[in-house]
Order: sequence, then C-alpha cells, then structure tokens
Amino acid sequence: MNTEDDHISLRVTVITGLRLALMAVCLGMLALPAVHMVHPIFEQKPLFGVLADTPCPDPTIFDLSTEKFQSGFTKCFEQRYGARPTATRLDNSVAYWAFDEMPPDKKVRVGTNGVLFMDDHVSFYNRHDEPDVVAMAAKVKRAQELLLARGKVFIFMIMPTKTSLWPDDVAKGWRREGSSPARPRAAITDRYVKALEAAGALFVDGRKSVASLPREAVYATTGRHLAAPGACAVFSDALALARPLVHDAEVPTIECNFRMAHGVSVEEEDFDLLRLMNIFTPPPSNAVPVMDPMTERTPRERRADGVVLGTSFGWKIVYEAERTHALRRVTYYYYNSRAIDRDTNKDSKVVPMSKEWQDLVASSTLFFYPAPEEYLLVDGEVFVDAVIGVYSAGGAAPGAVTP
Amino acid sequence: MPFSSLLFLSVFLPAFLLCYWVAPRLLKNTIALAFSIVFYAWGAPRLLPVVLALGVIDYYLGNYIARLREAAKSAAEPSESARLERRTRRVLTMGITVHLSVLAYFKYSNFLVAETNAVLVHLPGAAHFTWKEVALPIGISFLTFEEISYLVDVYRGHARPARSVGRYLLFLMLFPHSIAGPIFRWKDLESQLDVREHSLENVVDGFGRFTLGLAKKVLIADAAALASDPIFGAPAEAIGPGLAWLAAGAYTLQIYFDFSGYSDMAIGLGRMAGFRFKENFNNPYSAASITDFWQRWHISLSTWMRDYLYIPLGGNRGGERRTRINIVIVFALSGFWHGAAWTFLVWGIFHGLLGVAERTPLMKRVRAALPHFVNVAVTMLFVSIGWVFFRAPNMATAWNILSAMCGRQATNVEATFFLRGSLLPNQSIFVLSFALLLLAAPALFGEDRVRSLGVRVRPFALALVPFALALSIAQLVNGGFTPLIYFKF
Repeated sequence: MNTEDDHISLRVTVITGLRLALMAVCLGMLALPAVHMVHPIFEQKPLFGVLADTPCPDPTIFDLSTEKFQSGFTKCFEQRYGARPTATRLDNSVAYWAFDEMPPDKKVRVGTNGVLFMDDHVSFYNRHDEPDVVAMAAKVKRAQELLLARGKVFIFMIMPTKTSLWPDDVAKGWRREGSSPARPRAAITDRYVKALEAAGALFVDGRKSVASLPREAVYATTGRHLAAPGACAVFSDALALARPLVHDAEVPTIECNFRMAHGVSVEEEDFDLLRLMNIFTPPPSNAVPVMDPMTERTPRERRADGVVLGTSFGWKIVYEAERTHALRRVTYYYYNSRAIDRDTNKDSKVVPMSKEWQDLVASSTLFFYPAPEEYLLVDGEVFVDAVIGVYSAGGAAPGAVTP
Repeated sequence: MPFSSLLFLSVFLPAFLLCYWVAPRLLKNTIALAFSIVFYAWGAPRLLPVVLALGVIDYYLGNYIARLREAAKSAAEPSESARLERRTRRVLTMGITVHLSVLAYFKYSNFLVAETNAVLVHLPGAAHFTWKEVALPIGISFLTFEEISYLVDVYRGHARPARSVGRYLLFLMLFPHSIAGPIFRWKDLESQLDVREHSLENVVDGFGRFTLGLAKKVLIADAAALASDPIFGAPAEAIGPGLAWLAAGAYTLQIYFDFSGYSDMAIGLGRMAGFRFKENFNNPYSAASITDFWQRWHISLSTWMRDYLYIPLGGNRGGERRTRINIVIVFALSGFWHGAAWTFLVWGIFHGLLGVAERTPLMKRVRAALPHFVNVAVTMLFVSIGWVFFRAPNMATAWNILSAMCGRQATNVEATFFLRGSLLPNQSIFVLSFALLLLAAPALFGEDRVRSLGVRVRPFALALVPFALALSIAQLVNGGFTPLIYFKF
C-alpha cells in the first residue's frame, strides 16, 4: 500500500470517526433526558419558581381512542423532562447574556443598569386605568374610624414599587410610550394619596419614607421586594403615625441602621429575581444592604400586639417588626386567609368576617396594611371591606367575605 | 406527535433509529411500518382503522385496475377493449369517489353544515340541521391526495400496482410524511422500498437536515409567531398600519420557516432511513412571479394539482380563456384543500387571479421591463397579502388587517396595547433579521452562488448541528410547545 492509499484510508477513518462521534453526541442529547427520567444519571440544580404539577394519566382503551391519554401523557412527559433545568437555564442564558433580556413569557424583565423587574412592576409602569380612588379612600377612612372607636389603629401603607422609584431603568421595549392619552407615571398613586389626604385617612406614603435613602437600600437591583432599610423606613413612619393614637401600650421609635455588603449569599431575598431568572450566572457582585442590630430601648412586654396584613410584600414589614422588637406579638394575616403567629409559628385558617377573624382583630391593637403600589386598587381591600362589614353592623358577623 | 415535540425527539426518534439500524435489511421495512403505525395511532387513533382499510382497498383496486388495463390492452376485439377500458375507468372513479367522500366527511362536513344552517336561519320556517362535529384527523388531506395519485398513476400506466399490502401501507403511512406531507407519489417511492442505501453518511446528512428543519421551526418560525399571533388575535380597532404590516410580514416568515422546516425534518428523517424524498421548497421568496412562486412553494402539492387536476381539466390546451378558468379553479380548490373556511378559498382564488393576471400581455410587458429584484419584491408583496387571508381566523379579521395595511388607523389603542418587548424582543429581531438575510440572499447574490456556497460550507455546518439541536431543545423546553402550522391541514 502506498502513502496516498494510507492518506485516503486515514482520511476515511477520521471522517467515519467524526461522523460516529457527531451522531453519538446528538443521540445522547436526544435520549439521555428520557433515560434520566427513569434512572437519574446526572446532577442538575433545580429550577426556582413554581411549576404546576401535571399528573400522569393511566392508559385506558377509551382514553387512548379519544387521544385524552396522549395529550395527558405528553404534558406529563414534558413537565418531567429529564433535562428541563439545564435546558431552561440554557435558553434563558442565551436570552440574557446575548440579548440582555428574558424570553417574553417569563416573569422577570431585564432593565437597564443591571436592574431586574418583575412583569407586575412593568405593568404598573404602563398602567393607564382610572379607578375610583375617592371611594376607596373613603372606605379606608371608614374602616380606620370603626377600629379606632374600638381602641385599634389601622395604618394603610403605600409600599413604593421598583418602577416608581426607578422608572428610567425600564427597558425601552417594555415602555408604553406615545399612547393616547399620555399621562405621567405614578399618576394613580398620586391621585390615591390626594384622596387619602382629603379623606383624612391614616396612611404612609412609602415613596416619601424612602426618599432620603440611597437607591440600593430601597431595592436591591436583583430583588423583588423592598430591601430591609426601605421596609424599615416605611414601618418607622407607620409607627410614628400610630404612636399618638395608642394609649395603653408603648409604640417605640426605631432605628433603621444598615451597611452595604458584597458577597452576600445568593439565597438571600434580595437576589430573588436573579434566582427566578434561572440562568447560568456567576455569584452576584452587587452590594445589598445588611441591617445592623437594633437596640431595644423599652421592655417588649409594654409594647402593643400587632397584625401585619398582606401578601409576600408584607413579610418585609413582619421581619422589621421582629428585628426591631417594636411589637410585643406579631401575627401575619397572609392573603386574607391564614393567620401566622410568629412567636409560635402556628398557622391557622381565618376567613374574613368569621368568628376567628373577629378574635384576631379583637386580640390586637395595631394593624399594618402594606399595600404594594403596583397592586393599589387592583386587588381590592378585603380587610377594609371586612371591617366595614362587621363593625358598621355593630359587631355582628353578617357572613364571610371570600378573600 | 409533531417532530418538534420532546416526546418525539427524546423517545420516538431514538427508539426508531436504534431499532431500525440494528434490524437486518430484510426487516427494516417491517420496523419502519410498525413505527409508522404507532406514530399515526398516537395522533389519530380513531382514523387508524379507516386509513388501514383504505390502504387495503387501494391495494386491491390498484391491482384490479392494472389487471383490467392489461386485459384491455390484450383484448382481441376493439369492442371488448373499449368495454374493459370503461370498466377500468369506473373502478378508478369509484376509488377516487371513496377517497374524496372520506375527505369530504372528515374535513368539510362541519363547514358545510354550519354554512347551510347560517343560510337556513334567514329563511322563515326552514329546518335547522343538528350535527355532531366531526374531529379532523391529522394528515387526512395528504393521505387522500397520495391515495388518489396512486390509483390514477396505476390507471395511466405510470406506475405498477403495489406487490403487497404491507408495501403500500408503508408508502402511505411512512411517518416522516404521513401527517403533514410532503405529498408522496407511489411511483417515486416504490423502488426505494426495495433498494435504498443505508450508510453512516446518509444518517449524518439526514440528521443534519432534520436539525436544520427543527431549528427553522423552533428558533425562527416561533420567534415570528410572537409578533404575528397576538396581532391577528387582537380586536380590529386596536390595529393600525404599523401593526398590520408587522403581522403580515411576521407571518410571511413564520409560515415559510415553519412549513419548510417541517419538510426539512421529513426529508432528513427519510434520509436517515435511506430514503431520498423530493424537495418541497426551492427558495420560494426569491420567485419573480406568482407562477414562479408556485413552482417553488410546496412543490409536492403544486405538482400534484398540475398533474391530477389542471391537466385533466384541459390545462392550457383549450385556448387562453379556458386556461384562465382552469387556473382559477385549480387555485381555488388548492386553497380549499388547505382548510374548510372561506379564508382559504379566497386565498386560493386570490392566487388564481394573480396567476391569470400575469398571463395578460400587458403584465408580461410590464414584468419584462422591470428589474428582477423589483419583480421579486412585488411578488413578495402579493404573497404576503395573500398570507393574511391564509392566517386570519375569519374573513372579518382578514379585511381588518388588510384595511389597516392600506392605511386605516387604529381607533382604540387602549383596546389591546402591545409592547415592543413582547412582540419583538431583541432575540426575535436578531433571528428574524438573520432569517430575512437568508431569504433575500438568493435574490441579492444569485441562487447558484448561494447554492454553491451552501455545498462548500456543508461539512463545517455539520459541526454546528449539536449546537442547533441544543438551542432548539432548550427553547422547546423553556418556551412551551407550539404545534406546526401544517398539522391542521
């Protein structure tokens, strides 16, 4: 065999080897996720966020003939797909690192200057409806009067949203500009604040509370909820508002000291939007605020019991109330359906206006309702309606309000 | 089970390839038929017995037609020959009628009953048809055309009848084409059922072609759908000229990359099993006329229409007037074949009228005077306008989009407000710009140059296959599943 034949033979061998390798890689990419579903063969970091559970159907002749089984099995298979975490992270990473965005059907929006938003933040930025703020403010005032007549103080807290504080960081593609009628941003909040002032309601405009703080102390660029100093500032103003109205307990002044720290664990709440993006990323480098321990000035026993009402945003107020020991006992009335006693961690179902709900109201003095700006007059004020429903009728419970 | 579903990619395809490759040559057709039946049964279990029964009927009819033809040819008496010819034609007519009846029942009965009832509503005292909706089985339109072409080709003597039921069923149900084309002809595939090349080179090339199709569908067509779908679904008062043109343009890209991607996947799958399928697309958006467009778009359908409808109607043999009528009839029926709705019929007639207009001396002179790229651009414009009818869920939506394209302003932007970030994210802009460049390249640089460049870069392009596959799977997993457009036909 001469040298030329050797070369040809070598070339054929190399090409064949390359072809086999290519097919092995490709078939591996196709089949291994399915094998992994049956026999796990590789480690993957789980995805953050909620995936609706899809049950896997049992095959029956009827379901097979009507394609019900096929569609159910396909959904079940796709949800349990073996490479789902890796594939999801790959797709999101391409969108993020190559195009500075997230796929449009995802919850997280990438803004400028490294600021991450939630789609609800962006919806608030673009919000153009005209809710009846005067009627709602009147209801808040009415509920506060009814509770005050029973020695209880109800503070309505407008929690500033990220797009309200950093509107310029909303990426241009997600801005609703040039539409008709053009209206200034945060117009709804301004109108609501004016209506609350006109009604004489007890409320904190959180935007003012945080105005003097550096922006990273109000919201971490990678966080969904107010950062601790921001929440603390709003809570501090709420306590100041309640202080003159509480006579049988002490409402302390709190200090919201903090420092900015780098290298904080990504598991911290200030990185929740970053985690929710589900991308391949190095550890975050942005500084996030860390609260310094607060000094307790008076014995805790002399302080008032408090209830924090709300959604996930309310946790920030709960944490500040606990960190500052500003309240004797903290109960978190979560989504108007669960009362969580933070001392005992007892979690009980409490339907608005029910006897348990009335007991909850009766057992506390202070009520804090941190209402996120993006949901103002969207969610409805279940607690406000319940108070009016129960106490304007003289304390009788006419029936349960569905949260 | 579309090719772009995780179940197909992760379970069906690897299982098929494994079984097919390890099977001895004699068993490969059996394996292919078994997987094809499972594939079809998964998507249309209730039609499976019908398809199998029709396959068996076709097999016997085809053989009977062939025997009658032979007998007619060898008949001693001319009268006997004529009698046998008439009988052959009757058998053929019966076979075609059976297939068209099945198609009419499954595909058009809902539409006909609904439209009849819509008319009866306006007649005082008229009865109203009560009707239980018939579910449209996947692939019925493609199967019907393939079955008819088989019988006609055997009748014409262009093809031999199938030697066995299994071979005919394999032709009919071979999973790469059974549910969304391309439309096969028995005479093209018959010899490959006996002899075809099984080689590693074919497998690699086929897999590369399959991945190209998958990427076209998942990475490009679905990106275009992000822009077109919401606008076509929006209320009329929310759509102005900008959005209407965006919808039409995005859908023009979407349908090409979706359907040609599907055809690439079908051709690639066939290649992996040693089959050589005919191309179904040839740079259709580089066409310089509507006639040219139909020689490049869904070639298996347009050639079927030419051979089994246009030519039997008389083609261009009956004078110019008759030719024009034939063109409009063929395009109208082609449109209606795509779906039982007025929009498809209008789309077909629109193309038919454009085809007729191109045949006028005036238009011939105008087109000859214009530079090539202007002709391409004008053709693209009319094709895009036609796609509005094709995509719109009803005629009202089509008119709304078209009137907005002609300048009608939105009257209520609050009704549906679109954000650029959701209609056209940066990734879509990049992908669609790239797609436009791909489409424009043959017209800009010459088809031959682009084709030869494609041949030169092919070995390097194969190295990109794993990346394209990974990105496509990642997007399928992350973006949720979107079905192929041509599945509904």
